[in-house]
Amino acid sequence: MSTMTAVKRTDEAPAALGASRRKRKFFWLGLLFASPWIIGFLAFQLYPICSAFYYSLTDYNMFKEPNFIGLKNYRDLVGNRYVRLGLSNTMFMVIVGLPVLISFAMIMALIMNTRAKGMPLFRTIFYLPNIVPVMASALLFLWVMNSRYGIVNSALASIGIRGPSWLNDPTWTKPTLIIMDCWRCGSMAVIFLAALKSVPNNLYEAARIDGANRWTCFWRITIPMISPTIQFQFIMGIISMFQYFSQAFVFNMFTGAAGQATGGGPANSLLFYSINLYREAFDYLHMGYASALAVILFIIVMIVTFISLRISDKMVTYDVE
Amino acid sequence: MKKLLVLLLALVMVLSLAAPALADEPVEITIWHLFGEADTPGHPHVFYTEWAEKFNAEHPGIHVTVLGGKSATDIQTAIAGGTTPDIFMNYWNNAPQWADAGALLDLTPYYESDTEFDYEDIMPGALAISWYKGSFYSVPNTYSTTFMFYREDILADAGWDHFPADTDELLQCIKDTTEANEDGTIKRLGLLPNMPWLDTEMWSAAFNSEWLAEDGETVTAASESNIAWLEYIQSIYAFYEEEFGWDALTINDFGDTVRGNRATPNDPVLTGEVAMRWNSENLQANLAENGADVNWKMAWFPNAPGTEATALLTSNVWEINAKTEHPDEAWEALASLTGKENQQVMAAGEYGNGQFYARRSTLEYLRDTLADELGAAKEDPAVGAKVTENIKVISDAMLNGNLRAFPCCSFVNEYLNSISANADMVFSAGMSPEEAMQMVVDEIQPLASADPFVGYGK
Amino acid sequence: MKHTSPAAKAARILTGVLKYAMLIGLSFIFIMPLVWMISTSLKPNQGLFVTPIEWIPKQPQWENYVKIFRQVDFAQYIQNTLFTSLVPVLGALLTTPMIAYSITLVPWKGAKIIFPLILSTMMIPWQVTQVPLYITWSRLHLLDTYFPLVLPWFFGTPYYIYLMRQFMKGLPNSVIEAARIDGAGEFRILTSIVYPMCRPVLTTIAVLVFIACWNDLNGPLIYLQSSSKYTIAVGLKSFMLAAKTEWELLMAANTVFTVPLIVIFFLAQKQFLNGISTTSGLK
Repeated sequence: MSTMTAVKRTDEAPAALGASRRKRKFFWLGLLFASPWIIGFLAFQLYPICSAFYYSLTDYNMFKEPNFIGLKNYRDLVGNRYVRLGLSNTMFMVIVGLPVLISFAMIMALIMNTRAKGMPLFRTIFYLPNIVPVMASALLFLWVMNSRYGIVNSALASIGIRGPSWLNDPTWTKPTLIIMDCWRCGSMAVIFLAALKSVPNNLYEAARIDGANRWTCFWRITIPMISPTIQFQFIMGIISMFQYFSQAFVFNMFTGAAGQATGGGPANSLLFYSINLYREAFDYLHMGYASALAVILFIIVMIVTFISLRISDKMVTYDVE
Repeated sequence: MKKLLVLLLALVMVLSLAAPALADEPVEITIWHLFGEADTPGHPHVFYTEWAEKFNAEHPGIHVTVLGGKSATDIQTAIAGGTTPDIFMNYWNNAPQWADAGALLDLTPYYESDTEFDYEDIMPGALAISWYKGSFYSVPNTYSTTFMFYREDILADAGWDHFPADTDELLQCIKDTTEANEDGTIKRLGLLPNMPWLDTEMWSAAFNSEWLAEDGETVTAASESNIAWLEYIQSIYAFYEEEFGWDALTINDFGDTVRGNRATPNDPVLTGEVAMRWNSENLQANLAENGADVNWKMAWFPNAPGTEATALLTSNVWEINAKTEHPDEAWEALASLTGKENQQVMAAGEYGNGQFYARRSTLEYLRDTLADELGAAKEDPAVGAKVTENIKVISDAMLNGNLRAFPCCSFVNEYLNSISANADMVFSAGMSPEEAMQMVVDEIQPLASADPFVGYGK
Repeated sequence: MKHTSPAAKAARILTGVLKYAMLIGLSFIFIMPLVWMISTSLKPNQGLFVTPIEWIPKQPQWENYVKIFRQVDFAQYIQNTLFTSLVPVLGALLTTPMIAYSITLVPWKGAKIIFPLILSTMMIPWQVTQVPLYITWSRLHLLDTYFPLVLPWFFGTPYYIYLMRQFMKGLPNSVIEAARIDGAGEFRILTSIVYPMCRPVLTTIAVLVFIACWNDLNGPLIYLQSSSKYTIAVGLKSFMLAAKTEWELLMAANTVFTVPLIVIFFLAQKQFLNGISTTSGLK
């Protein structure tokens, strides 16, 4: 703390002339350091993003020149059954799936952070489901979660519980996906682990001298210290859950009205917003309409993300001082 | 970290030097297909590459490259953005929308002028799904339908000396062949109503129902005959539930496992987990190889009593990119690939068990000549005899049977998706067939009214 | 001299045993896909789901692997894939810290604009940008090259920029301010102060980028048009499609594809451990 104040004092002492020059210097520096992203954005992202916005006002079908049709696409998607279904399925993943997933990843990271012989091996094992190709894990999962022969329900049966029909009962399909995501939480857990590793040990030592127990340490030191990472996981989680696609896409090839190009799972319970978007864009060639769907999703995600950022910013501690 | 970076840089430089350069060809024709790239004898990719080699040797002005493993989405993205590929494989039901979107080259002039191609040799059903709004946009490739595969011994034990002749008999046969284990779990199902999946087109063909009225714009999803097949499937589920206490979820969970075993030595027909199941004709090859000592047979899928026997037809097709820089050369290549001569070569496909293509001459050749040759080539004479017999049965059925396809209309994908998703609501969510099919009508009727279907030749 | 009572010793042993029981129990759940994949890959063709499951095949069919190596040009594909995975790692390590530094530790107005923009770009579903992006690469005449696969990583990926930002925000400001007072240039601060402090997160990024690129199927499938340029993922996808219902070949292919990643992860995760001392040493 003392260095900090010292810095401020020496810094403010020179006249205002120095301050504006410094400001300019930092402006150019900031711009220079950010330039890779700015160049990349202008070269590769600006055009696709603007096109998507423009296409949402057209009847674009991917091949022909688009015709401007105003807000028709937006009017069409209001009240559409699949849009509604997609939104509610997706909201389930954001509201229920994400907190479960993040808590689970955090627990896994805490376990991976304990000291034990052979920990490198255990860490690798915990990361495994993330490395194994999605297709292989999904196939295995169809077998693990099978209500009759699967390991999960056999285990439940041995303690006298009749497990649900995970894959075919519309009320259980989304929880099944969440379980699979938890099992594939490796990369989330690894990021938490990196955060946990950055928590200075002396904080814990000091707390322990003050007589704090592990539980208090966790809530008073660990959580605040890794709060930027928790916030990161939540924000990224919101963005990716709203675009939930790959796992459901694979699952839908095997369950429900399987055999169709882009299915929605049993009773459309796995018809997520992005699955519907994909279907409109690639199965039906309604690129304009799909772009309108994308714009609406963009607006929803943006609002939710920035509100969450606002709220969580107050809870996040960055400076360790 | 620094060391790691230096190391990475060095590696990158070495690798980039080693990266191969692409040479330019004068008239390069690229073909993308949906199968994998394998070099197993009898695999489609092997036939394509062998054909390409031969074609390139005979046509010095054209160089054909064949690439596999692409998905329809990959192809879409590529042709939306450029001239590659020139020729690609596609599912027939994508053609109308892609054609409307301007992605496909109109092949009608070539169909009409290329006498050697002889399009009248192609089976009428396959032509119908290559034809859209007055033009041919596709060249049919495979020709495929659905057969019933069943266990003769299991049916005999249940007192069936013949395969069910209609769907009423089928239901009785299902009842007679279903068995439970001692603990009440499933030992064998007569038929899995959604194995390998809920094939709505096949069921509607079996009940002789139409999806569009004669006028091409009235959606008939909620017609009596369409409700009838949904109720029929319901009655199968109801039997399992009432007789054995297996609800739909139990049946579907059972289906998940057998689905993963199909076309392997543990195919449910071979293990006896089902007495009967339907599949496209190519299952015969797998069953012949894996079930030489099992008493299985194949038959037409039974029709509803009193209806004319019809069966479902599907096909995959070849199309030419509308943006191709060399349409004439692309057609030349495609006409050779799908021509009489090459189709006869490729009919030996499916790992030497016969692949069925849409040309009449090919099917006849398969039935009259190739069936015996392919059977004789098998190591095990018993397997060989079965392969020969099956190929003859299938090609004969394809040549003479009444095969029909789903209407090749501009809203075909929406319609197919809507049918299967809403039919699934009947079995997964307990919706009534009438309600489910009314939802299909509500969704599809506006599309049909806006752009009515015009049948082949009209 | 510490003297432990037998009771305390017993308690310690008990917690140790419990800890290992938990670790091993969890490992069991997480290792299942791999074991299942490998065991299926060594069985004769029999289907996916056979009960009771046979974890260790009685007669391992090594020829499944021979078949794969005979059919797929691994030497070429591995070389290609190393290129398309290592170059992005290099790109991400070079530019991610720079960009994150700019929006975190450089006091300038643009930071407040750029960060939300970076986040926003992630919110557009790929389904609608894929085609325009493809058209962009096509106009640049860079189709059928590795540029569409590796170049974007040199311009920063939102996910990793954000991750990096969060870590940099946690760095002690005083150290950087002090370095500025000492007259150190911003570039030097970045390379010799910030970079070492971010080592754990940089390693994480390197590993995650590598795995992501190794596994990427969509990109190579769309942009690569000649099979000599294929990556392993594409080569194996073609192979898997060819194998159809021969699950054992599919699983053997998946195993061949996955094992290198497991080794890399195992080796790299030691870096996380080494990271601790660096950061806490600065305190």
